[in-house]
Amino acid sequence: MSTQATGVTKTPSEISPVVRPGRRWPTRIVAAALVLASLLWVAAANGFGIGTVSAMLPLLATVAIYGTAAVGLNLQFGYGGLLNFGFVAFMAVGAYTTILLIPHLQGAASTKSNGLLPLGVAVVVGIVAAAVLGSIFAIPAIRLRTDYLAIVMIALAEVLRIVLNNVDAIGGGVYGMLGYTSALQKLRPGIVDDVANALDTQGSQLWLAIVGWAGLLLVIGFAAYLTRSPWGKLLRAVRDDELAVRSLGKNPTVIKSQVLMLGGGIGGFAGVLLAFQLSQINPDVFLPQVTFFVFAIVILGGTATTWGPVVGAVIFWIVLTQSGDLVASIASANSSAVSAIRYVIVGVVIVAIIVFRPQGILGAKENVVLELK
Amino acid sequence: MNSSNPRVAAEEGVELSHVSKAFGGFVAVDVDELSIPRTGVTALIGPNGAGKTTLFDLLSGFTTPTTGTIRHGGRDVTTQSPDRRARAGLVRTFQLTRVFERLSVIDNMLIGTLPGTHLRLATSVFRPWHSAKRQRMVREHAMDLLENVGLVAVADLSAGGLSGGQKKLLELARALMCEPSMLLLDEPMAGVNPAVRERLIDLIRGLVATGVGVVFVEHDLPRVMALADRIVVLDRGKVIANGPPDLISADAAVIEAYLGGGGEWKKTSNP
Ligand SMILES: Nc1ncnc2c1ncn2[C@@H]1O[C@H](COP(=O)(O)OP(=O)(O)OP(=O)(O)O)[C@@H](O)[C@H]1O
Ligand SMILES: [Mg+2]
Repeated sequence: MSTQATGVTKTPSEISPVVRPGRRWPTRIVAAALVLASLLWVAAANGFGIGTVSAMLPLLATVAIYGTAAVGLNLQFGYGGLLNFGFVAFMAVGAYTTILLIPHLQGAASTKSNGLLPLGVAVVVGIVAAAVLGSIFAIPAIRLRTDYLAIVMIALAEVLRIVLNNVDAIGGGVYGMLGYTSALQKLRPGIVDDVANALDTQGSQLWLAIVGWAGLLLVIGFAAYLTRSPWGKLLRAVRDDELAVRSLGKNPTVIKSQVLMLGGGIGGFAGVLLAFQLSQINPDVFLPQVTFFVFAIVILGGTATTWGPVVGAVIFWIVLTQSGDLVASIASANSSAVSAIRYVIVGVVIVAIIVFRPQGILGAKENVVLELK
Repeated sequence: MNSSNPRVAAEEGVELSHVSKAFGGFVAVDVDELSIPRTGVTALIGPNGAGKTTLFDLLSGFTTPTTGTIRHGGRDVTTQSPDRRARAGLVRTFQLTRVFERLSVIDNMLIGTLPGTHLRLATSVFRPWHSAKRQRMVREHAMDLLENVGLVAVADLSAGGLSGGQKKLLELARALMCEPSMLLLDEPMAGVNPAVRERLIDLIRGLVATGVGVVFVEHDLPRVMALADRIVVLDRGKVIANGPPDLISADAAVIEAYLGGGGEWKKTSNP
């Protein structure tokens, strides 16, 4: 398509191509190398023995859970530009709704509650509840500027947590709920146990990791499809310039609430997975720090990228867990000091990323840095 | 081409009555009665700070008037949102361009055409094949328009990298993708190269021939005279003249305002 750019001042070669974060090979290779190095770190810490698998499985499940949450937040924050500091509320609503609907023990007296729905249906209801309830929260906030949205959402998430803590009738108040994991584990095929035995690890852990990663890959596929669809283009347009979107007859408020719902539903699913990993939940599982972990993962991996949430989750959790052991082996610090220092190290990693590579590992600089023109 | 009395010919266009817009104590626009018909080319002229852009903001819904009512197509739209007005065919461009910098030029074009006026997620996301054929047609239409404004070669590049004039052209072409019935162009020719400007004028004439009404702001009077069927002159927020070009160029108040604004009028008053 050669053309007569008659009298126009810029020729094609002078204009930068469209930013497609995460689709540049060098960054992909670096990201893959970092992920591999992190996994090798875990293996090395276990002497490359068979024990590596047992050590790795819970970590892999955690990565899948937080990776899933990060996919949801990445839709809202990375693609939609919504600074949702109350993301953990979506996870809480998803987890509470699902667990309340399946058999569980609840409250101070461990009252038995028979489930209402099979697990699969309960999970779907949990996801929908997270999407809907999250949006009911968010609708008053969505018209606000994004920094105000952040403050309102963090407050709403805290209100939810405090209400759950104080209303014993919903999910047993501070005592929370437990005894529900069998709903997932009884679906475990025999072959999972056989493989787990061969690897000298527990079938339940292997099953959770498999379910978690299947869920993670599913939501990544869904998010990738969404962001490449015409709707995804509209979402990016809203992030770029809401007034221009309005001038073209589209309502940015509608699309922002849609992305809050979709991202929130994915967050709800992550909350369900988290509940199954923890095997008991109470409101203090859903502290604001969970939101910040997920933000750290999204930023580490690279906002508005397909695989950033996975890369971010692997590196975040491996640095967090392994650096503790490393510190303990170098200096004979006591365990509470070690656990505190892990967060310091993660903090340093995030600061370093923001200083030296603000776009995260896979991201594109154009998406995050204000250009001085 | 048009009647000599625009107030009578104003069927289904935009009408303002007793509209004012104040910023703090400063009244930027204060229009008693003004009708802009739905067809033909109307030029909106006036010195810097006269309130032209503010008037566009009022017409397109980007700001609500302090007093008065605005009607579009016979309906009261005073408090209607800008996106609803755009969907009703009243589409504007901006004096300071607002392209989607991180989208490609072609994607900028497609935003206004995406399925569903209310962004029906179901059709746009879950049933993309539903509209595959329509999408292809829309894309071809977009490429035709880009051809018209000389942006075909950069269609797949990032819009943020365009020059100022190119952004202006993209914004015009993008507005046309919304199939407006009335188009409000805020200084569409500012910063545009003469060769492209000629094409732009042809484009606008072509639009008008198909029944689209165009209202444009322009400072260069020869261009205004060449294109406009009628001219609305704004000065310090008030309409000081409104009529066909020959009447306007003889209007004492207009000459006065323009002489005050730098004497631009005099040298072009005898075309
Ligand atoms: N948001 C605002 N707040 C305060 N004052 C404003 C605002 N918008 C416009 N004004 C004032 O209203 C007046 C009219 O501005 P407007 O932009 O409509 O002028 P204009 O006719 O488009 O001028 P130009 O030819 O320079 O584009 C100016 O004095 C401007 O300072
Ligand atoms: Mg102006």
